[in-house]
Amino acid sequence: MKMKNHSAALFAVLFLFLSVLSDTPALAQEKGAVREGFSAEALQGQKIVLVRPSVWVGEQSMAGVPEPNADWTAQSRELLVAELGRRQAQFSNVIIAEPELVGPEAKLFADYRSLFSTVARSVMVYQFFLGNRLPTRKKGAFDWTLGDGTSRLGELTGARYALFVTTRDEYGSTGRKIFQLLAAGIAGVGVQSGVHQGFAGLVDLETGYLVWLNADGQMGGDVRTEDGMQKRVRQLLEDFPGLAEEPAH
Amino acid sequence: MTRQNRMQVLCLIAMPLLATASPAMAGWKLKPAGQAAIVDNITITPAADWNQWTGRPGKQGRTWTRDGFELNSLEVFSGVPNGQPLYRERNRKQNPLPKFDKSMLLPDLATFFERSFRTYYNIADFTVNETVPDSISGHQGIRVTYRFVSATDELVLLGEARLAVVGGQLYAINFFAPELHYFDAGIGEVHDIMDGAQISAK
Repeated sequence: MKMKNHSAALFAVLFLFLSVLSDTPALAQEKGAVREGFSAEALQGQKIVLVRPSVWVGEQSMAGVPEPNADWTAQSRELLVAELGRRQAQFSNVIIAEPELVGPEAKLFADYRSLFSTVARSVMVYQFFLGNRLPTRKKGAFDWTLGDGTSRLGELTGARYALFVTTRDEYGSTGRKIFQLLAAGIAGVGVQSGVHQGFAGLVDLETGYLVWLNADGQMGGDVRTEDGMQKRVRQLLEDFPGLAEEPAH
Repeated sequence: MTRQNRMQVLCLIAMPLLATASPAMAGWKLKPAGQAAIVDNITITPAADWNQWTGRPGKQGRTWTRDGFELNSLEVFSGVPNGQPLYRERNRKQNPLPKFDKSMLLPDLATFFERSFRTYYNIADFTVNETVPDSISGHQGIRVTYRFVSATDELVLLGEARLAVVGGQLYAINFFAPELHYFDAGIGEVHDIMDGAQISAK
Protein backbone atom coordinates (compact mmCIF):
# COMPACT_ATOMS: atom_id res chain seq x y z
CA MET A 1 0.00 0.00 0.00
CA LYS A 2 2.82 2.27 0.96
CA MET A 3 4.53 1.49 -2.36
CA LYS A 4 1.31 2.27 -4.22
CA ASN A 5 1.08 5.70 -2.57
CA HIS A 6 4.71 6.31 -3.43
CA SER A 7 4.06 5.44 -7.07
CA ALA A 8 1.01 7.69 -7.18
CA ALA A 9 2.99 10.59 -5.73
CA LEU A 10 5.83 10.05 -8.20
CA PHE A 11 3.39 9.88 -11.10
CA ALA A 12 1.79 13.12 -9.91
CA VAL A 13 5.16 14.89 -9.73
CA LEU A 14 6.17 13.49 -13.11
CA PHE A 15 2.93 14.58 -14.71
CA LEU A 16 3.33 18.09 -13.36
CA PHE A 17 6.86 18.45 -14.72
CA LEU A 18 6.14 16.71 -18.00
CA SER A 19 3.05 18.85 -18.53
CA VAL A 20 5.16 21.93 -18.09
CA LEU A 21 7.99 20.70 -20.26
CA SER A 22 6.00 19.20 -23.07
CA ASP A 23 3.71 22.15 -23.68
CA THR A 24 0.62 20.02 -23.24
CA PRO A 25 -2.79 21.69 -23.34
CA ALA A 26 -2.51 22.03 -19.55
CA LEU A 27 -1.13 25.44 -20.43
CA ALA A 28 -3.41 27.24 -22.85
CA GLN A 29 -1.47 29.47 -25.19
CA GLU A 30 -2.17 32.51 -27.31
CA LYS A 31 -0.12 32.84 -30.47
CA GLY A 32 -0.53 36.36 -31.69
CA ALA A 33 -1.35 39.88 -30.58
CA VAL A 34 -1.73 43.41 -31.92
CA ARG A 35 -0.99 46.55 -29.94
CA GLU A 36 -4.09 48.51 -29.03
CA GLY A 37 -4.73 51.26 -31.54
CA PHE A 38 -2.67 49.66 -34.30
CA SER A 39 -4.31 48.44 -37.50
CA ALA A 40 -3.62 47.83 -41.19
CA GLU A 41 -4.63 51.46 -41.85
CA ALA A 42 -1.70 52.68 -39.76
CA LEU A 43 0.59 50.83 -42.13
CA GLN A 44 -0.74 52.43 -45.31
CA GLY A 45 1.98 54.12 -47.31
CA GLN A 46 4.64 53.24 -44.73
CA LYS A 47 7.95 51.67 -45.59
CA ILE A 48 8.95 48.47 -43.75
CA VAL A 49 12.53 47.28 -43.38
CA LEU A 50 12.87 43.50 -43.31
CA VAL A 51 15.60 42.84 -40.77
CA ARG A 52 17.92 39.94 -41.61
CA PRO A 53 16.26 36.87 -40.05
CA SER A 54 17.72 35.13 -37.04
CA VAL A 55 17.95 31.38 -37.71
CA TRP A 56 19.18 28.53 -35.52
CA VAL A 57 18.81 24.86 -36.43
CA GLY A 58 20.20 21.88 -34.57
CA GLU A 59 19.45 18.66 -32.79
CA GLN A 60 18.04 17.88 -29.37
CA SER A 61 19.97 15.28 -27.37
CA MET A 62 18.24 12.59 -25.31
CA ALA A 63 18.27 14.84 -22.23
CA GLY A 64 16.89 17.75 -24.27
CA VAL A 65 20.19 19.63 -24.66
CA PRO A 66 20.36 21.59 -27.95
CA GLU A 67 23.33 20.96 -30.27
CA PRO A 68 23.80 23.32 -33.25
CA ASN A 69 24.08 22.10 -36.84
CA ALA A 70 25.86 24.64 -39.05
CA ASP A 71 24.80 23.02 -42.35
CA TRP A 72 21.12 22.91 -41.42
CA THR A 73 21.29 26.49 -40.15
CA ALA A 74 22.89 27.80 -43.35
CA GLN A 75 20.44 25.88 -45.51
CA SER A 76 17.42 27.11 -43.54
CA ARG A 77 18.60 30.70 -43.59
CA GLU A 78 18.93 30.55 -47.36
CA LEU A 79 15.46 29.01 -47.72
CA LEU A 80 13.91 31.54 -45.34
CA VAL A 81 15.40 34.54 -47.13
CA ALA A 82 14.24 33.14 -50.48
CA GLU A 83 10.72 32.49 -49.23
CA LEU A 84 10.41 35.90 -47.59
CA GLY A 85 11.60 37.39 -50.90
CA ARG A 86 8.94 35.44 -52.78
CA ARG A 87 6.22 36.66 -50.40
CA GLN A 88 7.39 40.27 -50.57
CA ALA A 89 5.09 41.13 -53.50
CA GLN A 90 2.05 40.19 -51.41
CA PHE A 91 2.65 42.95 -48.87
CA SER A 92 0.64 46.13 -49.41
CA ASN A 93 3.65 48.12 -48.21
CA VAL A 94 7.04 48.84 -49.66
CA ILE A 95 9.40 46.30 -48.12
CA ILE A 96 13.11 47.04 -48.14
CA ALA A 97 15.93 44.73 -47.13
CA GLU A 98 18.23 45.50 -44.23
CA PRO A 99 21.02 47.58 -45.77
CA GLU A 100 24.55 46.19 -46.07
CA LEU A 101 26.21 48.04 -43.23
CA VAL A 102 29.55 47.70 -41.48
CA GLY A 103 30.96 48.68 -38.09
CA PRO A 104 28.77 50.06 -35.31
CA GLU A 105 25.70 50.38 -37.53
CA ALA A 106 25.82 46.70 -38.51
CA LYS A 107 26.25 45.84 -34.82
CA LEU A 108 23.23 47.96 -33.94
CA PHE A 109 21.04 45.91 -36.27
CA ALA A 110 22.49 42.69 -34.84
CA ASP A 111 21.84 43.90 -31.29
CA TYR A 112 18.21 44.74 -32.03
CA ARG A 113 17.79 41.39 -33.77
CA SER A 114 18.91 39.74 -30.51
CA LEU A 115 16.71 42.00 -28.40
CA PHE A 116 13.70 41.23 -30.57
CA SER A 117 14.19 37.47 -30.09
CA THR A 118 14.45 37.94 -26.33
CA VAL A 119 11.39 40.20 -26.13
CA ALA A 120 9.32 37.91 -28.38
CA ARG A 121 10.22 34.88 -26.28
CA SER A 122 9.31 36.84 -23.13
CA VAL A 123 5.90 37.69 -24.63
CA MET A 124 5.36 34.01 -25.39
CA VAL A 125 6.45 32.77 -21.96
CA TYR A 126 5.09 35.52 -19.70
CA GLN A 127 1.97 36.67 -21.56
CA PHE A 128 0.85 34.16 -24.20
CA PHE A 129 1.11 31.16 -21.83
CA LEU A 130 -2.00 32.01 -19.84
CA GLY A 131 -1.01 29.81 -16.90
CA ASN A 132 2.28 31.66 -16.56
CA ARG A 133 1.10 35.21 -17.25
CA LEU A 134 2.77 37.74 -14.97
CA PRO A 135 0.41 39.37 -12.45
CA THR A 136 1.43 42.81 -13.79
CA ARG A 137 0.12 41.68 -17.20
CA LYS A 138 -3.12 40.10 -16.02
CA LYS A 139 -5.17 42.82 -17.70
CA GLY A 140 -3.89 41.39 -20.96
CA ALA A 141 -2.83 44.60 -22.73
CA PHE A 142 -0.21 43.92 -25.39
CA ASP A 143 2.39 46.44 -24.28
CA TRP A 144 5.95 45.44 -25.13
CA THR A 145 8.84 47.51 -26.40
CA LEU A 146 12.37 47.40 -27.77
CA GLY A 147 12.84 50.97 -26.54
CA ASP A 148 12.82 54.20 -28.50
CA GLY A 149 16.46 53.69 -29.50
CA THR A 150 14.99 51.89 -32.52
CA SER A 151 14.53 55.33 -34.10
CA ARG A 152 18.18 55.04 -35.19
CA LEU A 153 17.20 52.05 -37.36
CA GLY A 154 14.55 54.28 -38.94
CA GLU A 155 17.14 56.97 -39.64
CA LEU A 156 19.46 54.44 -41.26
CA THR A 157 16.77 52.95 -43.51
CA GLY A 158 14.08 55.57 -44.00
CA ALA A 159 11.53 53.01 -42.80
CA ARG A 160 8.82 53.63 -40.21
CA TYR A 161 8.47 49.96 -39.28
CA ALA A 162 10.79 46.97 -38.99
CA LEU A 163 9.76 43.36 -39.52
CA PHE A 164 11.83 40.92 -37.44
CA VAL A 165 11.78 37.15 -37.98
CA THR A 166 13.35 34.54 -35.69
CA THR A 167 13.26 30.76 -36.02
CA ARG A 168 14.80 28.19 -33.71
CA ASP A 169 14.49 24.51 -34.53
CA GLU A 170 15.86 21.64 -32.46
CA TYR A 171 15.11 18.35 -34.16
CA GLY A 172 14.75 15.40 -31.79
CA SER A 173 17.70 13.00 -32.01
CA THR A 174 17.11 9.26 -32.21
CA GLY A 175 17.90 9.02 -28.48
CA ARG A 176 15.33 11.71 -27.71
CA LYS A 177 12.70 9.92 -29.77
CA ILE A 178 13.37 6.62 -27.99
CA PHE A 179 13.16 8.47 -24.68
CA GLN A 180 9.84 9.95 -25.82
CA LEU A 181 8.50 6.48 -26.63
CA LEU A 182 9.71 5.08 -23.30
CA ALA A 183 8.11 7.91 -21.36
CA ALA A 184 4.83 7.42 -23.21
CA GLY A 185 4.89 3.61 -23.03
CA ILE A 186 6.04 3.13 -19.45
CA ALA A 187 5.00 6.26 -17.63
CA GLY A 188 2.06 7.08 -19.89
CA VAL A 189 3.06 10.71 -20.22
CA GLY A 190 4.05 12.92 -23.14
CA VAL A 191 7.60 14.20 -23.58
CA GLN A 192 8.38 16.78 -26.20
CA SER A 193 10.84 15.72 -28.87
CA GLY A 194 12.07 18.74 -30.76
CA VAL A 195 11.59 22.48 -30.40
CA HIS A 196 10.20 24.52 -33.28
CA GLN A 197 9.96 28.15 -32.24
CA GLY A 198 9.10 30.95 -34.59
CA PHE A 199 8.62 34.65 -33.96
CA ALA A 200 7.63 37.36 -36.44
CA GLY A 201 7.11 40.85 -35.15
CA LEU A 202 6.52 44.34 -36.46
CA VAL A 203 8.13 47.19 -34.54
CA ASP A 204 7.26 50.87 -34.80
CA LEU A 205 10.72 52.36 -35.16
CA GLU A 206 9.63 55.79 -33.91
CA THR A 207 8.53 54.46 -30.52
CA GLY A 208 10.09 51.00 -30.26
CA TYR A 209 6.70 49.41 -29.54
CA LEU A 210 5.96 45.94 -30.79
CA VAL A 211 2.72 46.55 -32.71
CA TRP A 212 2.13 43.04 -34.09
CA LEU A 213 3.56 39.68 -33.07
CA ASN A 214 3.20 36.03 -33.98
CA ALA A 215 5.05 33.80 -31.53
CA ASP A 216 4.65 30.06 -31.27
CA GLY A 217 6.81 27.43 -29.63
CA GLN A 218 5.33 24.62 -31.73
CA MET A 219 5.54 25.80 -35.33
CA GLY A 220 5.09 23.50 -38.30
CA GLY A 221 7.15 23.02 -41.44
CA ASP A 222 10.55 21.37 -41.78
CA VAL A 223 12.76 24.42 -42.21
CA ARG A 224 15.42 22.30 -43.96
CA THR A 225 13.20 21.84 -47.04
CA GLU A 226 11.64 24.29 -49.48
CA ASP A 227 8.08 23.05 -48.90
CA GLY A 228 8.57 23.05 -45.14
CA MET A 229 9.92 26.58 -45.21
CA GLN A 230 6.91 27.76 -47.23
CA LYS A 231 4.66 26.35 -44.52
CA ARG A 232 6.75 27.95 -41.79
CA VAL A 233 6.68 31.39 -43.40
CA ARG A 234 2.93 31.07 -44.01
CA GLN A 235 2.52 30.47 -40.26
CA LEU A 236 4.92 33.24 -39.31
CA LEU A 237 3.12 35.83 -41.41
CA GLU A 238 -0.40 34.65 -40.60
CA ASP A 239 -2.67 37.62 -39.81
CA PHE A 240 0.01 40.16 -40.76
CA PRO A 241 -1.93 43.39 -41.30
CA GLY A 242 -2.54 44.03 -44.99
CA LEU A 243 -0.82 40.88 -46.27
CA ALA A 244 -2.59 38.89 -48.98
CA GLU A 245 -3.38 35.37 -47.74
CA GLU A 246 -1.69 32.48 -49.50
CA PRO A 247 -3.72 29.32 -49.94
CA ALA A 248 -2.38 26.38 -47.87
CA HIS A 249 -0.78 23.70 -50.01
CA MET B 1 8.30 -5.50 -14.88
CA THR B 2 8.41 -5.44 -11.07
CA ARG B 3 7.28 -2.42 -9.10
CA GLN B 4 10.86 -1.73 -8.10
CA ASN B 5 12.05 -1.84 -11.70
CA ARG B 6 9.17 0.38 -12.76
CA MET B 7 10.13 2.95 -10.11
CA GLN B 8 13.76 2.85 -11.26
CA VAL B 9 12.74 3.50 -14.87
CA LEU B 10 10.47 6.35 -13.79
CA CYS B 11 13.30 7.93 -11.81
CA LEU B 12 15.60 7.62 -14.81
CA ILE B 13 13.00 9.38 -16.94
CA ALA B 14 12.40 12.07 -14.35
CA MET B 15 16.03 12.98 -13.68
CA PRO B 16 16.99 14.60 -16.98
CA LEU B 17 13.63 16.30 -17.14
CA LEU B 18 14.00 17.78 -13.71
CA ALA B 19 17.51 18.91 -14.62
CA THR B 20 16.20 20.85 -17.61
CA ALA B 21 13.04 22.17 -15.97
CA SER B 22 12.36 25.77 -16.81
CA PRO B 23 12.27 28.03 -13.74
CA ALA B 24 9.99 30.41 -15.61
CA MET B 25 7.09 28.01 -15.19
CA ALA B 26 6.47 28.46 -11.48
CA GLY B 27 3.92 30.74 -9.85
CA TRP B 28 3.93 34.48 -9.39
CA LYS B 29 2.98 36.91 -6.69
CA LEU B 30 2.31 40.59 -7.31
CA LYS B 31 4.46 43.02 -5.34
CA PRO B 32 2.51 46.29 -5.54
CA ALA B 33 4.11 49.70 -6.03
CA GLY B 34 4.70 51.75 -2.91
CA GLN B 35 4.17 48.86 -0.49
CA ALA B 36 7.04 47.63 1.66
CA ALA B 37 7.77 44.02 0.78
CA ILE B 38 9.44 41.69 3.27
CA VAL B 39 11.75 39.42 1.29
CA ASP B 40 12.94 36.99 3.94
CA ASN B 41 15.19 39.20 6.12
CA ILE B 42 15.29 42.24 3.84
CA THR B 43 12.53 44.80 3.45
CA ILE B 44 12.40 46.67 0.15
CA THR B 45 9.88 49.11 -1.25
CA PRO B 46 9.38 49.19 -5.05
CA ALA B 47 8.12 52.30 -6.83
CA ALA B 48 6.39 50.22 -9.52
CA ASP B 49 4.56 46.89 -9.58
CA TRP B 50 6.85 43.85 -9.71
CA ASN B 51 6.27 40.10 -9.93
CA GLN B 52 7.89 37.76 -7.41
CA TRP B 53 8.64 34.25 -8.63
CA THR B 54 7.40 31.63 -6.16
CA GLY B 55 10.49 29.53 -6.79
CA ARG B 56 13.90 30.41 -5.44
CA PRO B 57 17.20 30.91 -7.30
CA GLY B 58 19.00 29.92 -4.10
CA LYS B 59 17.96 28.72 -0.67
CA GLN B 60 18.04 32.27 0.70
CA GLY B 61 17.13 33.99 -2.57
CA ARG B 62 14.10 35.49 -4.27
CA THR B 63 13.70 36.78 -7.82
CA TRP B 64 11.50 39.63 -8.96
CA THR B 65 10.86 40.69 -12.54
CA ARG B 66 8.71 43.20 -14.38
CA ASP B 67 8.72 41.78 -17.91
CA GLY B 68 10.34 38.35 -17.57
CA PHE B 69 13.69 37.10 -16.30
CA GLU B 70 15.49 37.82 -19.58
CA LEU B 71 14.36 41.46 -19.67
CA ASN B 72 14.76 42.45 -16.02
CA SER B 73 15.70 40.35 -13.00
CA LEU B 74 16.04 41.59 -9.47
CA GLU B 75 17.49 39.01 -7.09
CA VAL B 76 17.46 39.43 -3.32
CA PHE B 77 19.55 37.11 -1.14
CA SER B 78 19.16 37.44 2.59
CA GLY B 79 21.39 35.64 5.02
CA VAL B 80 23.43 33.11 3.06
CA PRO B 81 25.21 31.20 5.86
CA ASN B 82 28.86 30.29 6.01
CA GLY B 83 29.70 27.34 3.76
CA GLN B 84 26.62 27.68 1.53
CA PRO B 85 26.42 28.71 -2.15
CA LEU B 86 24.58 31.84 -3.29
CA TYR B 87 22.50 29.99 -5.89
CA ARG B 88 21.12 26.48 -6.09
CA GLU B 89 23.53 23.88 -7.42
CA ARG B 90 22.66 22.91 -11.01
CA ASN B 91 25.55 20.59 -11.73
CA ARG B 92 27.36 19.91 -8.47
CA LYS B 93 29.72 17.31 -9.96
CA GLN B 94 30.90 19.02 -13.13
CA ASN B 95 30.36 22.70 -12.35
CA PRO B 96 30.00 23.25 -8.60
CA LEU B 97 29.13 26.64 -7.16
CA PRO B 98 31.60 28.39 -4.83
CA LYS B 99 30.66 28.44 -1.14
CA PHE B 100 30.36 31.63 0.87
CA ASP B 101 32.98 32.04 3.59
CA LYS B 102 32.19 34.53 6.36
CA SER B 103 35.89 35.47 6.57
CA MET B 104 35.83 36.78 2.98
CA LEU B 105 37.14 40.32 2.56
CA LEU B 106 35.24 42.77 0.35
CA PRO B 107 37.34 42.08 -2.79
CA ASP B 108 36.76 38.35 -2.23
CA LEU B 109 33.01 38.99 -2.31
CA ALA B 110 33.30 40.38 -5.84
CA THR B 111 35.12 37.26 -7.01
CA PHE B 112 32.65 35.04 -5.17
CA PHE B 113 29.73 36.83 -6.84
CA GLU B 114 31.28 36.63 -10.32
CA ARG B 115 32.01 32.90 -10.02
CA SER B 116 28.55 32.19 -8.57
CA PHE B 117 26.70 34.17 -11.26
CA ARG B 118 28.72 32.76 -14.15
CA THR B 119 28.30 29.20 -12.94
CA TYR B 120 24.59 29.39 -12.18
CA TYR B 121 23.69 31.06 -15.47
CA ASN B 122 26.34 29.15 -17.46
CA ILE B 123 27.87 32.32 -18.91
CA ALA B 124 31.06 32.22 -20.96
CA ASP B 125 31.38 35.94 -21.79
CA PHE B 126 31.33 37.94 -18.53
CA THR B 127 33.23 41.09 -17.56
CA VAL B 128 33.33 42.96 -14.28
CA ASN B 129 33.28 46.66 -15.16
CA GLU B 130 33.81 48.09 -11.68
CA THR B 131 34.01 47.10 -8.04
CA VAL B 132 33.61 49.94 -5.53
CA PRO B 133 32.73 50.28 -1.83
CA ASP B 134 29.01 50.63 -1.12
CA SER B 135 26.53 49.53 1.52
CA ILE B 136 23.26 47.76 2.19
CA SER B 137 21.10 49.03 5.05
CA GLY B 138 24.05 50.93 6.50
CA HIS B 139 26.35 47.91 6.47
CA GLN B 140 29.63 48.27 4.63
CA GLY B 141 29.83 46.26 1.44
CA ILE B 142 30.66 46.48 -2.25
CA ARG B 143 28.99 47.30 -5.52
CA VAL B 144 29.86 45.22 -8.58
CA THR B 145 28.86 46.41 -12.03
CA TYR B 146 29.19 43.90 -14.83
CA ARG B 147 28.40 43.00 -18.42
CA PHE B 148 27.69 39.62 -20.00
CA VAL B 149 26.39 38.05 -23.19
CA SER B 150 23.45 35.66 -23.16
CA ALA B 151 24.19 32.37 -24.88
CA THR B 152 20.69 32.02 -26.35
CA ASP B 153 20.42 35.26 -28.30
CA GLU B 154 23.94 36.67 -28.01
CA LEU B 155 22.38 39.68 -26.34
CA VAL B 156 24.49 42.03 -24.21
CA LEU B 157 23.16 42.49 -20.68
CA LEU B 158 24.36 44.78 -17.89
CA GLY B 159 24.13 44.12 -14.20
CA GLU B 160 24.73 45.70 -10.84
CA ALA B 161 24.97 43.92 -7.51
CA ARG B 162 25.47 45.07 -3.94
CA LEU B 163 26.82 42.64 -1.39
CA ALA B 164 27.47 42.94 2.35
CA VAL B 165 28.28 40.56 5.18
CA VAL B 166 26.10 41.10 8.25
CA GLY B 167 26.40 38.91 11.33
CA GLY B 168 28.55 36.44 9.40
CA GLN B 169 25.89 35.99 6.70
CA LEU B 170 25.83 37.28 3.15
CA TYR B 171 23.21 39.76 1.93
CA ALA B 172 22.99 40.71 -1.74
CA ILE B 173 20.72 42.53 -4.15
CA ASN B 174 21.43 41.98 -7.84
CA PHE B 175 19.82 43.48 -10.94
CA PHE B 176 20.47 42.65 -14.59
CA ALA B 177 18.79 43.54 -17.87
CA PRO B 178 19.61 43.96 -21.59
CA GLU B 179 21.92 46.87 -22.34
CA LEU B 180 19.49 48.12 -25.00
CA HIS B 181 16.68 50.03 -23.27
CA TYR B 182 15.90 47.70 -20.36
CA PHE B 183 18.91 48.32 -18.09
CA ASP B 184 18.59 52.10 -18.24
CA ALA B 185 14.82 51.86 -17.91
CA GLY B 186 15.12 49.91 -14.66
CA ILE B 187 18.31 50.91 -12.88
CA GLY B 188 16.96 54.20 -11.44
CA GLU B 189 14.23 52.46 -9.48
CA VAL B 190 16.58 49.62 -8.57
CA HIS B 191 19.04 52.13 -7.05
CA ASP B 192 16.18 53.47 -4.90
CA ILE B 193 15.28 49.91 -3.87
CA MET B 194 18.92 49.13 -2.98
CA ASP B 195 19.37 52.43 -1.11
CA GLY B 196 16.17 51.89 0.89
CA ALA B 197 16.69 48.19 1.68
CA GLN B 198 16.48 47.36 5.39
CA ILE B 199 18.08 44.26 6.82
CA SER B 200 16.17 42.97 9.81
CA ALA B 201 18.65 40.27 10.87
CA LYS B 202 20.31 40.69 14.25
